[in-house]
Amino acid sequence: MVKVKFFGVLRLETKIASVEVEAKTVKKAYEAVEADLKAKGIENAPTAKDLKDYITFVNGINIYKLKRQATKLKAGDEIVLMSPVSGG
Amino acid sequence: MAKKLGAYTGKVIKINLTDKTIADYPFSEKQRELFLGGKIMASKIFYDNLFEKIDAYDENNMVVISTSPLNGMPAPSSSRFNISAVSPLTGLLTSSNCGGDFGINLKKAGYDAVIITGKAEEKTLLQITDEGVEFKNADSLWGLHTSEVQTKIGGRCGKLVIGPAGEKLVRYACIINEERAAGRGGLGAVFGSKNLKAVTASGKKGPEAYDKEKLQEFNKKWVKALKDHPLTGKQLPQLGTAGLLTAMQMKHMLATKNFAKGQYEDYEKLSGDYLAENFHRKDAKGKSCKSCPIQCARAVELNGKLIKGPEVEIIGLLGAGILNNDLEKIIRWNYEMDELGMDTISASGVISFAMELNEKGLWDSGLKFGETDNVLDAIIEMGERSTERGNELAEGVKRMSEKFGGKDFAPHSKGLELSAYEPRSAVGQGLGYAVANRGGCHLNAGYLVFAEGLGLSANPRTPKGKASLTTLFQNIMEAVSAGGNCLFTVYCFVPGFMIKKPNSFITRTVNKLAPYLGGVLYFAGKKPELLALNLSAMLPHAIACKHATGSKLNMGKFIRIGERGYNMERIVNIRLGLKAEDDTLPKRLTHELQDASDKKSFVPLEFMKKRYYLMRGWGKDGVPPKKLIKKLKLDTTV
Ligand code: SF4
Repeated sequence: MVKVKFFGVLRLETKIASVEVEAKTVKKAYEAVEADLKAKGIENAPTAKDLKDYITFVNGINIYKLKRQATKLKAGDEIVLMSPVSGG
Repeated sequence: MAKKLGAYTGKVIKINLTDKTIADYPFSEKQRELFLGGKIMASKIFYDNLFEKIDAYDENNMVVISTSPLNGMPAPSSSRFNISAVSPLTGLLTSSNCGGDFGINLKKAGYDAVIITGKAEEKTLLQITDEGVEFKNADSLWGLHTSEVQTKIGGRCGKLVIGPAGEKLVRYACIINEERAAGRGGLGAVFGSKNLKAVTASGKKGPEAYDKEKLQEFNKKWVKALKDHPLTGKQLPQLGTAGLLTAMQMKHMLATKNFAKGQYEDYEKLSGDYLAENFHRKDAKGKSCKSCPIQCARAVELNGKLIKGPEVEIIGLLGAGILNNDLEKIIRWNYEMDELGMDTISASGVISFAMELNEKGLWDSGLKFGETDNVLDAIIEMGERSTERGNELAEGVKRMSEKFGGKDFAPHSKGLELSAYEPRSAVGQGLGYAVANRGGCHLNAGYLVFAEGLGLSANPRTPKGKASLTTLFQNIMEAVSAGGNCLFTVYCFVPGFMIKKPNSFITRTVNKLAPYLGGVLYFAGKKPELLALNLSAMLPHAIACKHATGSKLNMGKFIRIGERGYNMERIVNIRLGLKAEDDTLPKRLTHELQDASDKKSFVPLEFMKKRYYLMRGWGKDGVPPKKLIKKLKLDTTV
């Protein structure tokens, strides 16, 4: 499992601080987060497409310094998702 | 005859507390056009009157309270007025901007600015109304905390007050108006040294705008733009400045353990989100500044009372800075500091520095990293100078380092404690801290952290282009402040879509080019005729000031006013003894790597400083030459 932490307006609006998902890449993690939020019935939850605009860190490193959405994930990794307005 | 300028009262007075005299101070329309208002107007008054070193507590030190043309006008976030004096912390000119209701009320009383000099024989409350100035005895107010004084004064007027810290000459005492502070530089102690507990202002009607209809029309569009912008319309209103803390952590900009590191492992418990979830209360009315559509202040509850929540700077400094993850304690300490009337940034820097002095065996104050049970006691002791420890802490970081050692890790520049942004991961911010006129202030520095990580991501560890960006940002912010707007309104300078889509190709390209953009714009700034246009989306401030005053302003002229102000302050500081070597930072930031694996993780100050002097047109000694003084129209007696 990969832990995905939410910060910024995303967290305030979904009222969720973090979720755990199964995903092998960042792209898959975005999709898994979308599915998770949908399953929880969160209104206006961001889609995987929206999440591409979120500032994303894997284990503290911005994915733009890694392999972007193709960045590989392994169990125990931590993703931080910051709303795009949280300080790019 | 040409129509008079709008938005100004046209009157400045000088009040002498020693002999209780009041005199008109000449400040012409031409000067209003060249120096706009607020901090630049105040700098001009110092520029014309201060020619040699003076101690902050000398009774001839002036306190200049100056309003801005947009104070009281239909314009967003425009209640910000200014207070300037020679600072007890830095010995240089300090200016502090405040968003309370005093500026608007001072204009209603009929004054654009008041200059207070001398020293009152008895504790004094100065009452300024549209009927005149009265000197009242303030014995019954002396000793009271800042909220108590305001309640006791009562009535419908703007109130500037100090708390016990100002009375006891704590070098970083502040002045409070409503729940807002003119925080930095120790202005409260200058009030205290003059036996001045409070100044009130009231009157029936302020001045009119030059073109009220156009200004109102423009205001509607501007407010809409601020509400539509992701930062000023969403992030700040929902999370306040505390919302920046996570980004600071992720970008290694969160000053941790007295600036030894840029990240704190327990940051989540300090984040804006955690604050919002656990402490925000809905009714934040009256906590934010007047006339502000952004309303960035958050209300929190302390002992059943709704108070203004802490800003990101103090959360950073008294959280990560001292290895404390207890946000509730920070809320309490923040409140206590406001009540005692102390600048929260400086006071927090003092505490973290004392902890490191203790850790290194240089001074045992009892304060230790990660241990917080005695912090509240220390805050009260410093605010009241009630113990030996409190007395030492009340002197500020610079003087403590001169006495106990630790200069290499004393977090200040020119004597002013640094804000919570760790500059080894935002080297342009490091340059700004070092060269800023008022010392280690994040805003006067040019707030490059915005370009280096908190808005854009312009390579935060490259020194390239940072000198020109710093110069440009400083000039813009100087002018915006003089016009009367909050500096957060400058966020709109960056188009909303770039904030909303930080990963887009355009944004990433701009981030890459940003270090070079400053040079281009600086060149344009050198030739203001090239900026003889008004891009309302980028810098609406110039247009609003134009409609308010009737002065023929455009972006180029507006930025030039900022440049004029920045240089004037520099010259006043040089008269006060400032040297190029004072534009510096503690060695920890310039010579120690923040991240052992990245050789670039330090502030390459000398490299950037040279370029900065060049960009500013200063000599290698950091002195503005005659040619520049002439170009800025500072050589004539206008
Ligand atoms: S944005 Fe915040 S600091 Fe600025 S004027 Fe509004 S309330 Fe005051």
